Amino acid sequence: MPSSRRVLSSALFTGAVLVLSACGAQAARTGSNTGDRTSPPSEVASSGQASASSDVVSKSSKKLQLAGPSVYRFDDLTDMLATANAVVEGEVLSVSRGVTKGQHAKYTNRNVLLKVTTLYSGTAPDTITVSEWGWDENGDEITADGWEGSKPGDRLLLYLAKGEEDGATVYWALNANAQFLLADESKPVKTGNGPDAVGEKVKALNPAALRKATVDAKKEVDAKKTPPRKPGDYLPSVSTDPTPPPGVASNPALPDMPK
Amino acid sequence: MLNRAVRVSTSIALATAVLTLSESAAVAGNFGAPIGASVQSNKWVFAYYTNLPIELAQHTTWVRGNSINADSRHGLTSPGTSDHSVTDIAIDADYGSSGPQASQWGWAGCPSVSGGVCVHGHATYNTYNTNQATSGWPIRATMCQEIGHLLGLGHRYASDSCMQNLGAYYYGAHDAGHLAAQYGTVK
Repeated sequence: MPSSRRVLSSALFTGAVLVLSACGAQAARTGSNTGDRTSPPSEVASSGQASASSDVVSKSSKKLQLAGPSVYRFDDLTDMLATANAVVEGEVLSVSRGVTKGQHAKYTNRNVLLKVTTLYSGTAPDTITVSEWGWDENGDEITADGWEGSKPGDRLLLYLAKGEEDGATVYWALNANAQFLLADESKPVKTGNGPDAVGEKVKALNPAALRKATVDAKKEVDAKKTPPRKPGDYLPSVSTDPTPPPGVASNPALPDMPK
Repeated sequence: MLNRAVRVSTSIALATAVLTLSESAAVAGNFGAPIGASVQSNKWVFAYYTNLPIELAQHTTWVRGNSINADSRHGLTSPGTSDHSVTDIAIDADYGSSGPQASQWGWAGCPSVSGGVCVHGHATYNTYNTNQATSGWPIRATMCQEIGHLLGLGHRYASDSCMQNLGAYYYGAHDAGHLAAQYGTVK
């Protein structure tokens, strides 16, 4: 009997080791929050320098994909332009490490220095800093809602909000569909994969068509046909239970939550 | 007889271990436009549990219990195969009113992807925007979407689902089809 216990214990131990090994392998494969960490980069990558490239900034080969709902939801470019503090086209001069946010999940934003070549709406200086999702605390680069981080030399058309980070003026795209990479004049622009209707409407446009659509949106806003959106204004009233789709029963009653 | 009992016990123990090891492989495969699955070697960004404000904890619990599990329309009825896909939900602190985080109600990522499927995921709610929402159901709606991302659902432009419409805190029939194909029966 003691012998059978030893064998059984051995078997269970073997099983436990296998499970732990799997966990360890998983942690190694994913670079989880134990083990080596790569600090977000401090170097600056710039365009116009033979030796500079975005690789200087992206030390880690990993890319993290991130998705989530935006506080803004736009029907078309006119909606978006009416809400933006500035709409600009320009070239990325350099990218560098920005502010780090978060108490537990920490993110270091990417500061994108943009030379503004065309101002479609609002006000902006000749050179602005655009804040993008950058890196997690392991130094792994983030791709947010399908938008890859900008690189030196990229030509962008951006619908921007304006604010401050660490006391410095920064701009950021209103949502995933408010940023466009004009990579090739003969091909559709690249944008994020947010759920806005505007995303579906613009994804087939080439840069020239997008520029024209932006100019047209500006004319419509100037004619005061479109008011700016406010964060979350597409949400139903807080006192109204959301309407379920046809053929689907009403939302389940909200249970009393234990205090 | 004793030796046979030992062999059986050994087999059971090893089988349990193998079953555990192969659990993620059992749900391998892509569907729809799953976040993180297009480049399977990618790691998703992740977040951590922190001290949850009571309302966030309550509503997140509600989402886990009602949007995902058996008692909800279009919830998964196979918690044995789904629970390991979303093992943690993280609610994190104020990310402020500026920068790209300020444009998001929340976000989801997965530190452990196997075969294009998240085997350990986290959803983060930006409490800065929570405070702007002033109500519980946007929390439910957001967490419904974040969990949907972790299960593999992408954004889509349709009004019948929390994957697009934050007014809903349930999955639409389209989502349910994807979830059923991936994880088994849905209700």
